[in-house]
Amino acid sequence: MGKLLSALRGRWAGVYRRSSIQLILSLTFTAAAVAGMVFLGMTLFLRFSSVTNTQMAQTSQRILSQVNLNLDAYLRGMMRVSDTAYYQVIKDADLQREGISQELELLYQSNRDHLVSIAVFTEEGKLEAAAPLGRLKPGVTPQTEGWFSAARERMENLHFSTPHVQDLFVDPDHRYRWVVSLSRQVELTRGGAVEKGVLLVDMNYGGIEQICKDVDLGSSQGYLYLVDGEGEIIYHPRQQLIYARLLEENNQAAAGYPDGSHDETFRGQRRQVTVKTVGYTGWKLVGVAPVENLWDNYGELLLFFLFVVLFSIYLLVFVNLRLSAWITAPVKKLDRAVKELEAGAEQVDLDVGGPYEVEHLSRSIQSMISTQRHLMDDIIQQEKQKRRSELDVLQSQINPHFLYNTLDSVIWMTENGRTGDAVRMLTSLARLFRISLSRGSSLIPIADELEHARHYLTIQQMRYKNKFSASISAGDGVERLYTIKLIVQPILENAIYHGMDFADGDGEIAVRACREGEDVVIRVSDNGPGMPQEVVERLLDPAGEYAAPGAKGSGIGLRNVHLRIQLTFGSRYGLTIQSEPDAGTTVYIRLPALGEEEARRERREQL
Amino acid sequence: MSLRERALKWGLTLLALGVLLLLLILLIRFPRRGRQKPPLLEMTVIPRAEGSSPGVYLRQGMEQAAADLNVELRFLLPASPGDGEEQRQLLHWEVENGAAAVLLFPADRGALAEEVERAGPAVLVTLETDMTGEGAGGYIGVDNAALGREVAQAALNGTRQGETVLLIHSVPGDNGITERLLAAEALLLSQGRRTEHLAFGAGEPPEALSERLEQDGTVKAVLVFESAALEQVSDWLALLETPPLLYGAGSTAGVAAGLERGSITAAVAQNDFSVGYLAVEQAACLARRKTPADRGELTFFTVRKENLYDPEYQKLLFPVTR
Repeated sequence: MGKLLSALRGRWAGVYRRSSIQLILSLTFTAAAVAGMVFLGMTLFLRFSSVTNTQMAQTSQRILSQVNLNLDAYLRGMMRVSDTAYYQVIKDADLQREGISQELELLYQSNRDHLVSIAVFTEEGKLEAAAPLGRLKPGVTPQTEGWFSAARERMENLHFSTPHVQDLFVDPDHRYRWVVSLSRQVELTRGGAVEKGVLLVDMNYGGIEQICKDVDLGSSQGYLYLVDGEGEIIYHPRQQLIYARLLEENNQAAAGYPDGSHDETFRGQRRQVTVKTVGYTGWKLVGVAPVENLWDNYGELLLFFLFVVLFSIYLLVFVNLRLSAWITAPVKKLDRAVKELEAGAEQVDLDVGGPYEVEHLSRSIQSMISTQRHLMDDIIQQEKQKRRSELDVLQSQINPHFLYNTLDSVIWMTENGRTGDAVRMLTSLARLFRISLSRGSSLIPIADELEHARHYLTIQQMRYKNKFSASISAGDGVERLYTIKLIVQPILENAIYHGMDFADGDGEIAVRACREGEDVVIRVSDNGPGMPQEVVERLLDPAGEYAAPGAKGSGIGLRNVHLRIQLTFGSRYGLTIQSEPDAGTTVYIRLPALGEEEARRERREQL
Repeated sequence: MSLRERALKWGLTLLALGVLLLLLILLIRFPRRGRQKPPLLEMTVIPRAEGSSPGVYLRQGMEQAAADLNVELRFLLPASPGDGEEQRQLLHWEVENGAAAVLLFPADRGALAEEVERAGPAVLVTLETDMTGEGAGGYIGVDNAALGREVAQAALNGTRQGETVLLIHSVPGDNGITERLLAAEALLLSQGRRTEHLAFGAGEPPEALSERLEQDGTVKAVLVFESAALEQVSDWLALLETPPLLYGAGSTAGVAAGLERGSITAAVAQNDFSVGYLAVEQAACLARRKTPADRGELTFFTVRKENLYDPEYQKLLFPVTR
């Protein structure tokens, strides 16, 4: 049992997990409502059926009481006939002098609908008088009959026999009639002497039948029968079938029931039996109503009730589905929005409405997502800033070799009396440093950047003894635009180291800044030996290898410039290299065209 | 139309249908169990002859069953008593006209066999004479041979070996009454009684019987195997000063009267009311293609003057009449 419950619980948990909130709500609402409705309905129905059964029993009892009254009146009528025969005919007559047959005949005729015969017997069983038949059958001995001895035993009382065939008198028509005998002991006067005798009044069966038949007990197959105190059937609507043993009746048990309603099961049939004792005789009226028929009486109601329940269940399912859909709509909308977020959507409508809890939940999720996004943006920004700072720092560091070589050149020039050249070199170096610092600003006018490149080229030209020539130019208004600093110098450094090292006075480096729409392009070209395409591709590839260690200009500077530009302005900006072996190299630096105002804003954002 | 709108439309349609059904249920009255009577069944009864069968009590049983089972009984009486050929014609006519159910008291198996077979088991039930072997759907009655032996047994008690017992052959032909007679004769002969047959039908003048009884005075007992003839013989013997003992089969009021006055020494009786009731019940069940209730076998009992009014015998011999 425990395992079964556990299995059921597990299965329910599985279903619960797999099902939608709407389905669970619908199911639980419906189940709870159906259970309540069935419970209430069953309670009402059982109460109703109980009340109906009680009412049926009360109805049966009322009907039986009425039948009892009628039967009692009928029996009292028969008793009055007996009283009349005794007190007005027999008691006043001296049988030695007068006969009483005529008076009995008159009495019979006035009650012939209810009587079969009236007869007076002596104590020895000799027929004294009788009506309407007056001759005893040969061999008949009345004194041995039950009704005779019962009358003798109950001197003051009347005795009612069980039904029997009247077999006393010779009937030329050979009629054998069933009668109930009413007998009493009487005093006969003969020649002044009083002797005992028995008065017999045989009642016609029809009178009892008239009272008991067609009694409607309120049940389609209900009926009423009459038994004596011993359970012997006196009247039954299907009496002959019972006598022929084609039908059975629970009459013996019914005789033992006290007055009132009882439930019994007889031959597999449940019946409601109502019993009422007929006063004086000890007979019992028994009303029988098969329980199935009681149910039949409100079977229609049961069917109707059943349909109403089923219809209500259907209605509940329908309403609950709609109701749960309405209740769960905000939750489902929220669920969809969260799924969209999980799928990577940027803009999701989290304003789902609904009740307080759901709305609070949606606001919380919205707030959480907003916070998360801000945090992520901050982190990204910080990372970018960090990276840019690192690159800026790296970029701003002067190659010690460059510094050493420059200073060494200054010393050499000074020693050789070329003071003017030394001054020019030192002046360019000083300007170079001043522009490199730029008071800490990373964005400088393009004019300064070009100036920085010019001083760098001046120094390098002096160092390389004018192996190459250089020109720097800018389009109209370009110099007023802004750029991140120190982006031209690393390219020039690469051009000098890789392109001019072997030049013999014919090397050329050209720097040209011009505007292309919303962009500024600084083109740095040289007529050096150039490089193959794979080297070009490797130079700007963040995952690509650097130049061989020990070689002049590893390419790190070039890549740093590219990364700095992209980190600052986005991926559509940066470097583009065009180069072919023996055809020189041109590096394009693409930047946004930032005016003074934009540069100021950019600086603030970087801070 | 979206899925949701379609579902809503279906739901509302079903809702409307449900409401409609609810209203219909409020209007319809459902049939109640046990109250429905089966359709009326017309049942034809073909007795052997008027006054011979069915007896009053048997007819009461038939009428009771007819009332219980919603059957209308129609009696077709042959003009000539015990005429198998006329019965055959009546049966033929009924079958030709599509009779739903027929109860037949066969007068002669030979004359009726072909027609009984044609009628088929779903239509025909016989009484007194078992013709299920010839194709009848059922037979309601006692074991005729056993009943005949019971009558003979009663006669054995009243006669001595070598004495003559006159067997009244009241219904000629191959039938249940003749079976009784033959079984009784066999038992009597085996017990050393002499037997004689006398053809004497109900309603016939008793001259032949009178002649035989007055012939030599050797007839010690007379055996009659059906009610009508038994009543008649009983009435006639009651007039004689020294009548032979009379034994027979029957349970009519006339037989009871004969027992009371002593003109019948003993009668083997069956409950005619049961026979009539069961016959109609079985025929109705066959016609309605239903299985009849198992009521057990019909029995018979020997009644004498001494036990005629025993309470149990009263109930079986004298139907309650109002």
